[in-house]
Amino acid sequence: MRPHAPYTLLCVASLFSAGCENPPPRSQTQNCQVTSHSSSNTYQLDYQLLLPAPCPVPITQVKEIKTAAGRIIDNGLPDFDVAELVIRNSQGVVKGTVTDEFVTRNGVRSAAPRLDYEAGTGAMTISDRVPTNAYDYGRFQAFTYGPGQRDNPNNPYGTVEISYEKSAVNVSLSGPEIPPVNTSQTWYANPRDGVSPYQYRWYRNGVAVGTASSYSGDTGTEPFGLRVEVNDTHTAYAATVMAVDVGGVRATITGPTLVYASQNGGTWSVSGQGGQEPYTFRWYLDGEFSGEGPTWSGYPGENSHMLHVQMRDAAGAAHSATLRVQGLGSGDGTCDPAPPQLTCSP
Amino acid sequence: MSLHTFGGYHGALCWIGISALVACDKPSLNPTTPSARAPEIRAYVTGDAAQTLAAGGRFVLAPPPPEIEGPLITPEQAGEFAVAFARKWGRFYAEDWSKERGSPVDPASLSADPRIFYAETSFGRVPDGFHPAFRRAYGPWYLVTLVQGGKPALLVAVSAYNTDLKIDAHGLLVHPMHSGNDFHAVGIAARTGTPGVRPITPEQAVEAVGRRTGARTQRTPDLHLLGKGQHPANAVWKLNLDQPVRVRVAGTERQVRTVFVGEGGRYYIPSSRQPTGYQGTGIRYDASGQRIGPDFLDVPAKPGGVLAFDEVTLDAPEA
Repeated sequence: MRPHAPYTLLCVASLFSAGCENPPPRSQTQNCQVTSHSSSNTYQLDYQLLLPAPCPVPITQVKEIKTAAGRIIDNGLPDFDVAELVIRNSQGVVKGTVTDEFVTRNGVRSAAPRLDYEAGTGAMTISDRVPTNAYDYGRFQAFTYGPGQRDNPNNPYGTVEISYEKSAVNVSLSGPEIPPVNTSQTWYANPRDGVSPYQYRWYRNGVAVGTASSYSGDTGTEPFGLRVEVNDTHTAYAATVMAVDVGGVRATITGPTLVYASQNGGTWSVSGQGGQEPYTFRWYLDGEFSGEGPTWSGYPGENSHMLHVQMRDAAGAAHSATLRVQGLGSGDGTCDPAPPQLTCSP
Repeated sequence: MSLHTFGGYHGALCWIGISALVACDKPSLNPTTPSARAPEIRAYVTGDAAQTLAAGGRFVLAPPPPEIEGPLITPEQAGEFAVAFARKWGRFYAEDWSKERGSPVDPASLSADPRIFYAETSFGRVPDGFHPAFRRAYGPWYLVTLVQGGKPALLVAVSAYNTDLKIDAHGLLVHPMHSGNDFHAVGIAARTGTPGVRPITPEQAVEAVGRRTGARTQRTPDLHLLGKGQHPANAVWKLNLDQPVRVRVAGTERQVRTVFVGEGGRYYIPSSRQPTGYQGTGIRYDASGQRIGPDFLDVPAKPGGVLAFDEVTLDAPEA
């Protein structure tokens, strides 16, 4: 490789500063960090990447038009023919190319590739399941090439990150979690914080089953996992899952987790889902049977206790729910604080 | 290198010697716009050249052809694109342009001088299968003078093949996905000692040769690109003279009737050996626009095209 003298554009340009009138307007330039480059460090100095500050350039809207411009100086032996700037998104898709001939003026041989491109269009791949960042990157390259010679591996290049966007989209999944067996049901993906339109991919037990904003299907007879992945216009990615308990039953306890002996404890309720009504409920306190029905009232005792309910539908399917409850007060009149008092007074 | 003076560019004569002494408040270079009042050159023209010299002392130049290896944009489009280019990309390059000019260039206040020059290429057809920018690189160019406050500020070379450029509703330039070799811009020197371009009009070129040699230009001048790797701003006016003039190059004398005149008062003649074309680097793309990679590029010269020039000294006739 021929020697390539380091070049500092600003130093050369400053020789021509007039200083007689107001100084010329400062260009909005930024020397972006070169993230990879050819083996010769001297080549890095031949690149002046001109981008709106700050660098990397933030994207406020996917697909917004960004400009990238550079100036490449051919020092040393003036033997470069072509400068190239290629912008790719994070998936490697080419978003713009520009080639510029090196031209000579006043003994300076330079090229100034510049282009527009749609920023932030890189989406995550299926294998990249973790929402990460999308960015674009540009590769500047100068070619020296002789007749009969293939691409010269020593051609200098530099790669820079042009733009950057953090994944903002979130998604939730709604629909029946405990549907009856052999029924037709619909689940919905609810994306937010991204830029519509969205793209959807539904998977049932890992098998792709749809690309719409909702998924409808027969429940069958076995539980299954449902997953939806969402991309916004281009960049952001999110996913969520739901365990669908087909033909299952589910009991849910509602009620206080802190009760006072001075108030005779509290009341807890249980609701049932799925299966076939009517449901039956059996309550257990610390493992001991303590009653039947959709509610249970009482004071479980001082300190921590386990309230447990067993639900059974008409077909015999069962499900249990548990709630830990904290009791305050001995219940025998020796120390029974009342809310909001949390300490005993003499 | 020879350096001479003519027209309104008196500062070019002596800039080497006095540039260090020039005071800031006394610029010795007063560039004019192409459409400004031309020098009186009737004494230096004859034949076709005399007939195309219109009122105001300016040549009526031949219009560009409608197409060469494909359609061309019009001079009016070139002017619009040049203004849009400066406005869009000025934020990146205004500082460089200002340094070249030696005075601030404000991209937002630039407008195109109506006199736009068309520079012919001596290259033939670029082979198919390469990035579209290569066709522009070897094709013809327009030279547009952008004016700021009535004074020339920026010379923008606009590829005549820029048929896929657009200007949006906001007046901003929209480049195609595969772009490049569409514009070259350089500040027009407003004072001595600056690296900007010192463009000349065809009338100034005729006057310079006529004053120096006494020869008259007999065909209307036309503008030619200086060759491979040269900035379009280095384009030269071709003058066919009514008598031979003596030039010196590399210690030898020659008599020629065709002289090319370039910016800064430089004179050229075609080199005795002309390349048959250019062989070098291209970047190959397939029909779907996918990049294949660098490859050998062979662009032939047009029949009779001049690709190589020798810079010469133009001698005054012997007394």
